[in-house]
Amino acid sequence: MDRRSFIQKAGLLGLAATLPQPLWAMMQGNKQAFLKALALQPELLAYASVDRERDIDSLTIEGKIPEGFNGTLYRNGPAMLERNGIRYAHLFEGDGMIRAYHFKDGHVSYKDRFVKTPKYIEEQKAGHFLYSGAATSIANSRAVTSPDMINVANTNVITVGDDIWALWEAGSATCLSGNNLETKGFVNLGDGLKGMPFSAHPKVDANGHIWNFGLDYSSGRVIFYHLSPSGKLLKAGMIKTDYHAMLHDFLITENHILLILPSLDMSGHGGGFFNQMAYNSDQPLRLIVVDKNTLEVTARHDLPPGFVFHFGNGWEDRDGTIHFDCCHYDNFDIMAEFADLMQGKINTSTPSNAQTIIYHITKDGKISRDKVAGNAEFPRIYPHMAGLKNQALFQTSTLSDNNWQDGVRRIDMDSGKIDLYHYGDDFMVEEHVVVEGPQGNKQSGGWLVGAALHIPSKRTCVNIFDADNLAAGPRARCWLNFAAPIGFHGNFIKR
Amino acid sequence: MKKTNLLVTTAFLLISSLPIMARAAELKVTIDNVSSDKGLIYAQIFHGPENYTQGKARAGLRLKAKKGTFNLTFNNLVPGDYVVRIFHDENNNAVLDTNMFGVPSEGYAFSNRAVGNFGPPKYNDMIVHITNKAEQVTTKAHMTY
Repeated sequence: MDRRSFIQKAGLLGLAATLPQPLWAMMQGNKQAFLKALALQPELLAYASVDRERDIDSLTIEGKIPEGFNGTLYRNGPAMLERNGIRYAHLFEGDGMIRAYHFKDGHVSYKDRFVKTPKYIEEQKAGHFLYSGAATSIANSRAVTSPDMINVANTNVITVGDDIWALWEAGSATCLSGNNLETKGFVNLGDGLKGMPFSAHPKVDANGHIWNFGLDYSSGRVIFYHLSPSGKLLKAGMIKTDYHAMLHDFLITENHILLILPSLDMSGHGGGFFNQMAYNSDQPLRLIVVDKNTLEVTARHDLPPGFVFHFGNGWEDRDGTIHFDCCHYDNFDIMAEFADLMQGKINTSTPSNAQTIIYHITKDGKISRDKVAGNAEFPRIYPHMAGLKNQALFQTSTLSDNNWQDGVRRIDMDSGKIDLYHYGDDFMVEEHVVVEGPQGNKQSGGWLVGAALHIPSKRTCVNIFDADNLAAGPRARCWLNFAAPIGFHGNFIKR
Repeated sequence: MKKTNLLVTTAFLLISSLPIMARAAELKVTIDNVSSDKGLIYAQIFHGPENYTQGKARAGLRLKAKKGTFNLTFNNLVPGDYVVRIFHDENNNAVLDTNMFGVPSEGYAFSNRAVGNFGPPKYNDMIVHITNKAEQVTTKAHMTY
């Protein structure tokens, strides 16, 4: 064996980041600045660090939970943002916490647990951060030899059989019990796949099959996964790209995978992976079309530059025309805003604005797009429509000059009509997910459910709407007795 | 899955071809964090940076794995700088298995408890010095999985 091959084995460890010199004082300053700002701006509670786990037997309910609304809403998000006086520099670095809201016959209970990743367990034992993150440099931090050593499992949660998988985009999925939220460990999808990145936005098709991707930042290679509903690997395949920055989400259609690479490169000069990323307005948003059967590239299209975290859905016509929606940013400022929040700085003058754009790309490469007015994020659809032409697109929406969403809306993709509910300035609204009603797989009926933080009372509530009539407001509002920090993504399962 | 034969060509006790010395130095390596008794522990020793860069091991050892802390010894060494690299071949296929992106999926370790950061350790972090010909030197290595 030559050294080169050993370097390939011991050396290509996923993240290309070179970690900066310690910025100890700055990180202690983060916490002080945050606490000072929190005293004046109570909405910063949304980004407060959590240091305990909770079980609540019964939530206070306003209104009436609809008959048949039984199941569990699982949510995930960064929660442990501080240890031993040090506050992370970026919101995305925090250790993930799963929140489970359980609905049964009109009664609601709640449980939350940190995802017990190896990083969490080691740092909990030590009482302080041991590892530098993608934006934070920890003094005398431990060496990182694989992405899973710093896996924080903080971005999304899906149900797989009786288990749930907590997801992070640079490493393995973490398996937890769906009942008691106890962490079971990293998911190993099979020979040669241990420790491979499994993105936080898998797509589950109408048959329950799970599709996902993972990006190796150092090489630009992307792996695709096709799993059975029980999480067993059916196939995997790789393609090569020249992309090395954040890749958060993707899409499926009936026959294809749509990989959409934002206009980011690694020309930034700051410390850590996040600060090395930069928006490049000369770089197109690139669509790579991959055949779902062969996992090989069938087409590439350049779209106008942009940055996207999230896509709602993609589908294709019989003539091969591809359609998809995205929450589109004209720059990458949003990433810095998530860092500013950690120091208690809220950008109220020119907050980033995500515009919903619907792209149409014909087989011969003609591109057209429709824009939907307003500022919206966290797109969701009826779950059984993944990859099929969806009539309804649900999003959270920003109606006031807030730095976070304060409403929910449903776009009729045929008529463009918008059904909107404005929670008001007192609320910070998290992603809302669609729950199919008792009538089953239709594109109407059912419910929309999601959490919101009520700033004046410092409490979080979960809200259930009729999916066909958001404007009527929530049919039920279920109150926690505390403020849960803002989460990112989750899913509902009827059990 | 990417696999490359490891150690097989260079591994096995090339010391038999070295001149027998009446008083030769030895290097004892104490490896901690071995996860199981499964499979074998492979270790290679390199004399000097050039040999390390070229992958020319002075000697190799292959021993049955033992959970916990594990000792092995290279003997008949001449004074100089040495580097030892080790892996735990749990599935007995004589290679260090990796995932499809090249990250090892079996345990590996280096002399001096050197650990890489987003890559292999630096050569200088792995060096063990043997200064005289009858010396008995001990180094530690930490198995990372």
